[in-house]
Amino acid sequence: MTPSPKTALLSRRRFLSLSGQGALLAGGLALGAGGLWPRWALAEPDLAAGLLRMGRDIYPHEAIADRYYLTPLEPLLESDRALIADGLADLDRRARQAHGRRYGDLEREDDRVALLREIEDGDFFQTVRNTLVVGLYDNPELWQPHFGYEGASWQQGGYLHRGFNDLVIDWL
Amino acid sequence: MTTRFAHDDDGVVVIIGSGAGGGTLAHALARKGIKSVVLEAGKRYRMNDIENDEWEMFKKISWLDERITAGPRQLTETFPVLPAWIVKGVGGSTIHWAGVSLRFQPHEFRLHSEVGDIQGANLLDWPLSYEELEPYYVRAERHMGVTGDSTGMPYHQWNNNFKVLAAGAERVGYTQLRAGPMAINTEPYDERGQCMQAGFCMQGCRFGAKWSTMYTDIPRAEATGHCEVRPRSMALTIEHDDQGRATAVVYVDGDGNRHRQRARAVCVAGNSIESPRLLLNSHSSLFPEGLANSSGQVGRNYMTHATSCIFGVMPGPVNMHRGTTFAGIISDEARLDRSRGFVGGYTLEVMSLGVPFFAKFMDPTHAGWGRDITTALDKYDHLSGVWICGEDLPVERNGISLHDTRRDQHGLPVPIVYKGDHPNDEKLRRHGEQQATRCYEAAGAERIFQVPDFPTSHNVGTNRMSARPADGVVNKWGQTHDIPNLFVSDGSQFTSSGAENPTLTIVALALRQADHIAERMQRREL
Repeated sequence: MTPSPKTALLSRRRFLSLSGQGALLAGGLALGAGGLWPRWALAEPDLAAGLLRMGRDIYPHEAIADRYYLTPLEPLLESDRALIADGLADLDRRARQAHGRRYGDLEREDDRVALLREIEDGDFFQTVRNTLVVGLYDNPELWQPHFGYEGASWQQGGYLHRGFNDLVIDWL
Repeated sequence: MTTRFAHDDDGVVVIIGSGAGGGTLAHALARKGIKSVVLEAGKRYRMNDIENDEWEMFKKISWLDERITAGPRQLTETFPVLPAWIVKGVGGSTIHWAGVSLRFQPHEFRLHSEVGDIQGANLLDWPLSYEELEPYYVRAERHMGVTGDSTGMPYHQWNNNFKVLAAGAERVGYTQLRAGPMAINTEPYDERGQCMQAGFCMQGCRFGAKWSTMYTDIPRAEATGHCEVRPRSMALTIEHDDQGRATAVVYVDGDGNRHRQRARAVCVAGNSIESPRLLLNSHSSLFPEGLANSSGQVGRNYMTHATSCIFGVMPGPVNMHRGTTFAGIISDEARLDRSRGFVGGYTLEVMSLGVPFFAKFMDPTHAGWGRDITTALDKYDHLSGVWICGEDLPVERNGISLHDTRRDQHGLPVPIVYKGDHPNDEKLRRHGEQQATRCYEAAGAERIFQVPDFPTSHNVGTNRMSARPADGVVNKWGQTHDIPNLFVSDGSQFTSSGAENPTLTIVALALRQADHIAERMQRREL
C-alpha cells in the first residue's frame, strides 16, 4: 500500500521535528545504494537508516546485504509508523543521554546493543524483532548461500539418494 | 462415494474430530458397518496443499483460534496465545505428528501403585493394563505401518543427525539406540510409498509415507458408504435428554449456519484442549458443571510431557534438515528408577528444525536476539538437536478452563490453558538436559545450548480414565462415567503421560473403543 502524499508529508514533518536534522549517514550505513532501497525508504532516510541499523544489531550477519534487512522492515514505516518513529526517537534520546550522539552514530556495537537491551521488553523493539525474525530467515534466497539450508526437497525426491545419511564423523 | 446422513438421523454415531482418535474410530466403525458423521472444525486438504515450507504450512494448517496460555511457565511469555501447536484440518494433528510410535511401558499404566502418593500430584493408575492393550498395540502398528516386528518393515537407516547424537550417546554408555519404531514406511506398505527422507515431517508428508488419517482412515471410511465427514464444522454443544443421554451435537458450518445433528452416540476427539472445552461448554440444568463432569475432573490433569530441547554445534557439517525430522530414539532413560531423584522416565529423540523455525524457536524470549543467536544460525548446517520427551505428573490445577468474558468467533468462551511444573517435572527435565548435554559433549560439540519449550504438540489427560467415577471422566473403554452413550476418543483420556509420544496409544485405544462400541450396539446397550 502506498500512503497518500499528504500523510507522508505530515509524517515526515512530524518525524523531523522529533529527531532534528536528518543525517544521511547513520552508523556507517550509506544510503546511497540507489536501486536497492525501496522508494518509501528513500523518502524517509532517517527512519529507514535507523531501522536498518537496529535490524543489523538485532540479528547481525556481516555477510548478509542490507536489502535483506530492509525489505522486510520497510513496510513497518507504513503499517506502524508512529511506533517506529517514536521508538527510534526514543532510542536517539537514550543514545544522546549516554554518549552524546544519536543511536545510529554510535560506532561501538556494544554501546548500541546496551541501549537496545534497555528497550527489548517494549512493543517497539519486539515489533521490529518479530518482523525481522520471519522476514530475514524465511527468505529462500539466503538459505543455501548463507546458512547451508536447502529448503524444499520433495521436488528433488527428498534426500533418500542425496545425502540424508552421508555423514562420516571424522572429528572424533 | 459421498454418503450424506440427514440431520435428524438418530442412528449415527457423531464423532467430533478427525485426527488420531476420531479418524481412526470413524474408519474402524465404518468397517463394521456402523454409520458415523464426523464433525471436523478444519478444512479438507489435498496432497498438493502440503508444501516443504515451515511458515506456510504453519499458517495453513495450525489451530490458530484464540487460546490463552497461562501458568508459571516460559510459554506464557513467549507464546501467550498459542499454548499448543496442533492442527485444524481433516486429519487433525496426524498431519503434523512426526511418526514416533513407541508403546507405553507396562509400569506406566500403574505409576501410582509403583510409586505411591506424591505430594502435589494427582496420581492414578489407568483402569487398563498393558496386557489388555497389547493386542491393540499390535493392531495399531499394523494399521499405521509402524516399522518393526508388527509389520516386518525394517527401521530407517540412521540419518546424519542421529549419527551425531548416537556417537555421543554411545560414549556416554547408552545402548538402547534405534531409528524406530516409526509410522513412516521404509518400504511400500498399505498402498503408500516409502519414505523419501525429504524432511518436513511436521509440515505434513508430501509423499504419504507417514501415517495420517488425512489420506488413510478418512477417505477409506468415506469409501465404505458408512461415514460422512463434514469439514469446517465446529461443534458448539452436545445436547442430552431428560434421562441424561446424549441426543445431538449442535455445530456451526463454514458459512456460519447452525445445525443440530442427532446422534445415537457421541464420541469426542478434539484433542485435549477442545474436548474438555466442549464438555464444559455443554453445561445444562441437569449438568451445571458441564457434561460428564460429576467428578469435577473435566479439563483437569492437563499434561504436555516435561520437555526440553538441546542443540549442539558440531565441528563439521551435519545437515540435520535432511531426512525424517525425528529420526532416532534413545530409550535408556525411559525406565522407572527413583535413584535418579525423580519418578517417571524420558526418551531422547533426535530432532531437526529448518532455518525459519530454528531462528524463531532458538530463543523466543524478549532477550533472544543478538550474536548469541546469529553465531548459532551462521553454523546452521553444523547443528544437531535432541528433544527430551519426559513423563510429567498429573496435577489437578493444570488444565483447561473457560474465560469469563472473552469469546471466540463462534461466541464460545476462549479456553485458558494453564500449566505449571510439578517439582518432579523440573528434576526430570534437568536430568534430561544434563544427559543430552553430555551426549553432545562426547560427540565433540563446540557449543551446546538449550532451546526453550515450543507450543506443545503432546496434549493429554484432561478427560482422564479412572476405575472409580469419582476419580476421572471416562472408564477403561473411554465411555464417560456419567453418560452411557458419550465417549472420549482422543489423548484426553490418558491417565498419565508416559515417557512416550502419545499417538500410537491414542490409535490403539480408538481401535479398542470401536470394538467395544460395536459389541454394545450388538447387545442393544447403545
